[in-house]
Amino acid sequence: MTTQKTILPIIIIALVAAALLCSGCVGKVPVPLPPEKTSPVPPPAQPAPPPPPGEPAEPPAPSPPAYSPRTGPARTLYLDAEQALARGEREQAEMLVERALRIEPRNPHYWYTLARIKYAQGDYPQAIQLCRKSTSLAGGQPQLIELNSRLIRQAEAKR
Amino acid sequence: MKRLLTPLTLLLGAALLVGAVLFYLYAGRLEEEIRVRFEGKRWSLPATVYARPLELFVGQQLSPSLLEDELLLSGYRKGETVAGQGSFSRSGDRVTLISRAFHHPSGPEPPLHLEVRFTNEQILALTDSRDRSDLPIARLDPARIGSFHPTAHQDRIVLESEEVPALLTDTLLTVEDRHFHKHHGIAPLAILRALIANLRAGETVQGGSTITQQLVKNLFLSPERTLARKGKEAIMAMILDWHYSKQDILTTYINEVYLGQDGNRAIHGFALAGQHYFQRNLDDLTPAQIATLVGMVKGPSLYNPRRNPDNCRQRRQLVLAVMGESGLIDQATFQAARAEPLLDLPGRKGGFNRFPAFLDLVRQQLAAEYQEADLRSDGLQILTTLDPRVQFQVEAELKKSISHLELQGATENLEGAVIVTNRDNGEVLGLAGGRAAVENTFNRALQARRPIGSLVKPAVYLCALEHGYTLASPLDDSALSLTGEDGRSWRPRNYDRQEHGIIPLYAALAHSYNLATVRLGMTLGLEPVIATLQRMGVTGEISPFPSLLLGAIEMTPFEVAQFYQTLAADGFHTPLRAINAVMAADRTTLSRYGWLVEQRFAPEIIFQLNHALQRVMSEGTGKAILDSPLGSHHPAGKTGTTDELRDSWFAGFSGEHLAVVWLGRDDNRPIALTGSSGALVVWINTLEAIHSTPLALTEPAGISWGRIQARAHQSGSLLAGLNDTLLPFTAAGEVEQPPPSATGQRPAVRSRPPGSGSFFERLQNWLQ
Repeated sequence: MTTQKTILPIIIIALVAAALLCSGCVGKVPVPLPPEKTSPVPPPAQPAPPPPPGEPAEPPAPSPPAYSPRTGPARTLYLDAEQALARGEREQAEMLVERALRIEPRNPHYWYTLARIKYAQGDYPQAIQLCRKSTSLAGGQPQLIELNSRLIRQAEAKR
Repeated sequence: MKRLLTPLTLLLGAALLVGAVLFYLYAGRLEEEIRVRFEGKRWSLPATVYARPLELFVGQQLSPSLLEDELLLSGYRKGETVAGQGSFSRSGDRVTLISRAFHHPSGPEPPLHLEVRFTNEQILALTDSRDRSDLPIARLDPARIGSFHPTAHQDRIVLESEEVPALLTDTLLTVEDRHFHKHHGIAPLAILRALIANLRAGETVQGGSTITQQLVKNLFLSPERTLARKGKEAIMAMILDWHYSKQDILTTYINEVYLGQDGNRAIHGFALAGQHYFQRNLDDLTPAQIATLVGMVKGPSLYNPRRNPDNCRQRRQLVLAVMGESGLIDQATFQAARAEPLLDLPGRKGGFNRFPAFLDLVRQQLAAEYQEADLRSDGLQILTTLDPRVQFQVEAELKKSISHLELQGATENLEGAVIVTNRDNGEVLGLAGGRAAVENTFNRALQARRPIGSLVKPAVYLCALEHGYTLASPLDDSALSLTGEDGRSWRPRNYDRQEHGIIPLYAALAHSYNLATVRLGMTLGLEPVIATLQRMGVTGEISPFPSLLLGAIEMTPFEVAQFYQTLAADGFHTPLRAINAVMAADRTTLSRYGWLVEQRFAPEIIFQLNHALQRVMSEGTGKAILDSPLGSHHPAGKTGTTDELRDSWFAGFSGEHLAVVWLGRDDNRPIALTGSSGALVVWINTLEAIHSTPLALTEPAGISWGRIQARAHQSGSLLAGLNDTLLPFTAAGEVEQPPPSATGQRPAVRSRPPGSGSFFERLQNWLQ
């Protein structure tokens, strides 16, 4: 189809070019085309994170009872992350809580949220590790430590 | 009739036909070339590397001058008033700015209009300067810190047609190709006019090329000026004009045109040129700046505002006059534009790729998933963890400290490397591969493999704590001799050549006693110590020789940082990362590097070890820190010195940063510095400069505290109170729990027979 469309302009071009240019130029053997510059290499395949073990992610981790996390300057990011997680937007939630953790790197509540996001993503081994991280920073917060233990048990059951 | 069919006319006809067929094939080939280029990827786009975005939040420790520094190095321009994206102004404790729109992996972030108020080096309030609403947090666009260029070293920012301001398009067409919207790719009259002028002059003096022809020339043809090439150009221009819209051609031209050089980087396209010369998006350019850029099309070098300001100004005034005459700008604008300075900003020093050592790490970490060719052609957007403020300080402090140490009598040609990471998530914030950051011919942080000396000792003591020892366990710091596999003997010595008798475990680590450490390690066995090192994150081969216990193992500073990260992160192995995400040119996310943590050691064990590492700094080999403001920050760390003072190491962490410093010479000759007198100095200066916070270890539930009598000051003296040392213990391992005896079982340890000088003899100085 393209070839049919191209015939007309080519003829017109040929005539115009002939009129414009001296015959010597036109008669010259076509020069070799310059090397193709665009790379035929396809863009890199999307290196997806390792597929979560077990079945696809299920409803997010159970919401804890009467849980009042201590928050600091990254509070809004943390709350946004919780909302995103509640909506099932796990990637968004993960990026938000990472931002919160860059600001308050040792807030065990944020690490716990990250653990729940990993759990929701079906990455149970990492969920367990993140719970342990949260616990290691939880100091004298038995409620949070208990929540972490609970999530670890759930994640271990899923592995 | 018959006459027309003479052999001659037949021949002519046939020749014409063959010519037409050949020409048809030729033109078809050119058309294919154009089609491939225009419908495929039009350019090889370099991968662009970004720093981490700066987050601003209320209560943040940040001074207005630090914010100003960060904005300047992110390419923001400072002015009396804020004008356009990427600009800011400061008056006292108030900074007003408009950030640049940026597409994060989480989605697009529109420009923010921000007013930041400070008090006492802290952010007091963040306000949207348009509606005066308070913002709790704001994320700025990240600084562009480098790129991986295509082989041709071309760089460009590609715009869509609707992103190009009308004044730029109109000016460009008025100056370069008035009949662009009417002609069919070529303007025969203009060519004729140019031909005559050229013939008259006897050389090529005039172009007469349309925008379309210029684009063809730039995209497809070599720079020579022959008639044949001109012919090809004309044919291709007509094909281009036939197949593609005027708008498409014009936008492609605006993205393609060459507008000067920045070192070996070729500046292509108006958008990048606007950034390069004026640090502005095209939207924010003044008419005078547009005139400057359009004027440069004729000769990017001849009319370069930096190199040839007089030529450039003349040309700009000419373009402005044309703009005025054709009604693109009114008289008042014209007058104002004529008076405008050519450039309103000093040139940015170093321009691009200012952090080559860090970029090495980025390239190395990308290599696992991306081909080098993709990095140089696909326009990838690489979002890194680099903190520009940390990076600048790391570079500056290393350079300054080394010069200072040289003046103080250390060796000449001293070199060094520094890595600073986020203590908890392993993000690499800054990295220096040598004292001359920009040259970066040899990246010592990633490439220099040196013996780590006493930096290995925490692994020995960690192993001991896991095997039932406590910080109070008595160790025997007395001379010993070991027989190596080859039958030769090794008699390690302490740095001070003394024996210290029976001492508590924590003190042996704090003072980095070699004899006690070797005895302890031999009692534990080399295999458990090696296993501990591997769990901490050492990946290379580790030979099981006793000298390992004093650091006869070679690592790069980066590898050291990886295994100390496990201590800094409270026992969680945390891979060091330089990259957060990679996006394609169209801003879809290709990879995101989520945080990975893995608990490798029990919190109670790590807490005890890190407590001992704090004692290194308060009473041991690192106590030089007490003379600095960081003395009250209770950092944890370890010094390392190797044989004949060839390497000076320090690895340690504060409340938020882990930093590893190495000093030495490239030819491996002695530098007359210990870990304490060399690397620690750099470490202190660096952590001070980046305003690192104090370290407060989080105490796990299973810790109890007990006092031991570590020293024997006379009971009546003022120092008697120092006799008691308060140490953490695990509930299981109560105070003075007898450890596996360090004196009872040492199979490989003999009493000290006099020995001749051996290979191991050289290790005797390894201390600290």
